[in-house]
Amino acid sequence: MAVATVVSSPSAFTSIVTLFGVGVLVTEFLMLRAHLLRSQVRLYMVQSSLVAAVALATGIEQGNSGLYAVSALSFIIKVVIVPMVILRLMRVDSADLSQSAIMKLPSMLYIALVTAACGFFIGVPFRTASVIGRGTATAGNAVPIDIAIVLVAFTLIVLRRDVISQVAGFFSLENGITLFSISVARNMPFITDVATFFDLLVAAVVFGLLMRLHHMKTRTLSTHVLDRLKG
Amino acid sequence: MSAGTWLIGIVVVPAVATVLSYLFTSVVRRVATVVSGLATLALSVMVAVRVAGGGRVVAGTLFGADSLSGIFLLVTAFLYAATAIFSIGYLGGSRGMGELIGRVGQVVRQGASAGKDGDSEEASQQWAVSDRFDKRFFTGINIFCGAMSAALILSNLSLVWVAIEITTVVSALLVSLEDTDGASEAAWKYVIIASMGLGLSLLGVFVLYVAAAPVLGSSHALQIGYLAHVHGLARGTVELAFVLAVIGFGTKMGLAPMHTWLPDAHSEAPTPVSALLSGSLLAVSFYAILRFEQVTVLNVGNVFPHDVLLAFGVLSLLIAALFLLVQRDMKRMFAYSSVEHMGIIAIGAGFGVPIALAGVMLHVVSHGLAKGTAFFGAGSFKIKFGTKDISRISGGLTALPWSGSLLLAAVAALSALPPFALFRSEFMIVDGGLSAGQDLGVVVLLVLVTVAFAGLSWNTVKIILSPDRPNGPSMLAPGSPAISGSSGPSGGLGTGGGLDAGASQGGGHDSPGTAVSASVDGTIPPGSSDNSVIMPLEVAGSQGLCAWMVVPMLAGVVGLVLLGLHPPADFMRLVDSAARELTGRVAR
Repeated sequence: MAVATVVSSPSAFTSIVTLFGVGVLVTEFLMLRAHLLRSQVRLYMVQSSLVAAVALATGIEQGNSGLYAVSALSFIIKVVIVPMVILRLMRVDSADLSQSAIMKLPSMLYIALVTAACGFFIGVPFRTASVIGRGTATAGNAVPIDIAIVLVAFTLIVLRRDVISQVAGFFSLENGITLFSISVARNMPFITDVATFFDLLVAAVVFGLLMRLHHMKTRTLSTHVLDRLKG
Repeated sequence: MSAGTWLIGIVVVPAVATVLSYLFTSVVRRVATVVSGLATLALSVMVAVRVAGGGRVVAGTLFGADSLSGIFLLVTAFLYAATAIFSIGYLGGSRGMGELIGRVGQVVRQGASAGKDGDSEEASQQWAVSDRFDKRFFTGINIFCGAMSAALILSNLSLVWVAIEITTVVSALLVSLEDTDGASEAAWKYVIIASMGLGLSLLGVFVLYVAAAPVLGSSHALQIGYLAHVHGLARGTVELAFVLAVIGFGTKMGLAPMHTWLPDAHSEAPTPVSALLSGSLLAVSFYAILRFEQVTVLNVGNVFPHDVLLAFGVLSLLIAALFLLVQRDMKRMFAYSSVEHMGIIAIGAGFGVPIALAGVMLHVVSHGLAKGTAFFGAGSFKIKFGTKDISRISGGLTALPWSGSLLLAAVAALSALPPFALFRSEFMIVDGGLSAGQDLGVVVLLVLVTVAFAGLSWNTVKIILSPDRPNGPSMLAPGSPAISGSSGPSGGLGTGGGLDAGASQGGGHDSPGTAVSASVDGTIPPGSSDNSVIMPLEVAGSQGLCAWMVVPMLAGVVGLVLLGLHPPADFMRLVDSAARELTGRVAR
């Protein structure tokens, strides 16, 4: 009830969504420097919790019951099931991923910052293009941050050459897109959300299996060794 | 039975085959997969005929098909059926029964012979591993084909995306199935690159929703039936959605420069999977792009979407043509040929006039037939010679008269030589380019296609028509180790014999079920030792198996000739109708 009261004010709602969006972006920057499998998975759990919170807050603000379900599904699948699947399939908790970066950490952070800034400016026009809930203080204001999250996820995948970080990057990318859809496409048919979550679940299992296969074949989590196939 | 029921059948039949493949024995898997493939093909043909004159078949709000769906359904279903049949020969049709009886024989022998415990246990383990591979293969094939078919008949664009993403994760597992280092590497690159691309395309779907929701309303904003005719969407937003879709789905379609996963995945996957990836999956991704193009043309005009497609098409064709000249791996060569043909298709779509678009539709179907046939042939050669290395293969026509001849025909078709359908389709695309005033584009197309033709035909002639080198590596000796590092299906399962005499000589390597290696006359090769107990059964079974591998190739070549010389009237009506759909001129 208290939450409902807080988010019923447009400015409070906008602040909460923006704050959580920035939180997601920060977790991505932390992912750039995470050295352990378990650290990456924990950061993903935190990030997904924030996404679930944005969905809940938006659902309350808009009175959209579909978003309650999206929030619940996000939490159950992304915070509980996907991390569990990844950790069960990859029993290499202590593996050090610190050597997987293709450049030094400050350089990576600099690139990620520039990328985030680009994403922010690309997303600005969407603040006015947000059509659902037009005329109210909507989550459409968070679109620039959502685009920044998507682009920083790409840099994570490119700059870290280990299978764990690349998968974390892909799931972050998916979180960014989920935030974007909450911002601008929140009235989409619920079946779309269900199908997307199902797909995410399947993807988590397959990524986990392929990571395990890679580790069994190469005895490393690094993708530096994937250089047999060329030309 | 209503037409809507046919659509539901196209999704339900592969789902049933998936369950049967997972739960039951290898014989049931094979029967279920072949029946499912043929049934899906029959249903797809019925749907295609129904929508050939225009209009739309629907099943509730979830499924719907128009002539554009019909074209892509035909090629997907044909390759599903062809791959199911080919796989029986490729994996060894007698594996189920033969190995089961052989295993029983081992157990009986174990009782009569002391000191054989280890051998028996090993044979038992091999059988178990073989069965696991078999189960994963057929289950995966059915899910893969079911998801591709579903993508073509789902009515909601976001669900189309979900189905295509499912094809990615399932096919990545199929690519890794042979458990080699190369397969593992290819599968990882594929799943990461394709998933990143599909992430962008999902963003494109949501951006399109932003544009369409104010006009169509929330519930219809992503319904294909509505999007195909909507006007008045915000120009900038639609353009952004289109670019995201082309980059995202284009990654899966194999458009350069996002194509880098394609040669790896296609060359390292089991051959039947390569055929599906190349002939069908790329086309399904193109289908998704065309759905975005429909909306973009209606709301932005022709110039922007056609320029984008032309740019990606020319780049793809250029890169593929150059890489085709230097390929040394047979399957990799066909993979680059796929990039080439996706480039041609994108260029044809970029020309944008009805004749070129009709050519594109014909090209999609013809490429599926030709590439499926080519990969099937490459698989037969890999089994026969134990390598994909072009420099180590010679005398193909002598060694494999049927598969060699049909592979040669497929390559001639891929090179757009008459009388095959790709000649007709490329002619239509060129004609369209000239009538659209795209003279420069036509010149670039013709030059690059000629370069690609040189690379493809030179390598194929070396493989098939050059005389067998007396001291070359050439054919595998009976029982010799084949396909090093591969633990998949190919060698040793006696997949030849019959039509292509000698093709069953694939040696016994370390793959599951490779207890089987014998010459065609049934003699037991050296080193077969204890596994000899099951050999007569396998060899007897293998004599007729070659037909399983040749018939799908023959069907592909016959289809190419038919579509090239005298395409059925209903098919051409379908092609014309799909072209009209794309130009927004379809009659309602």
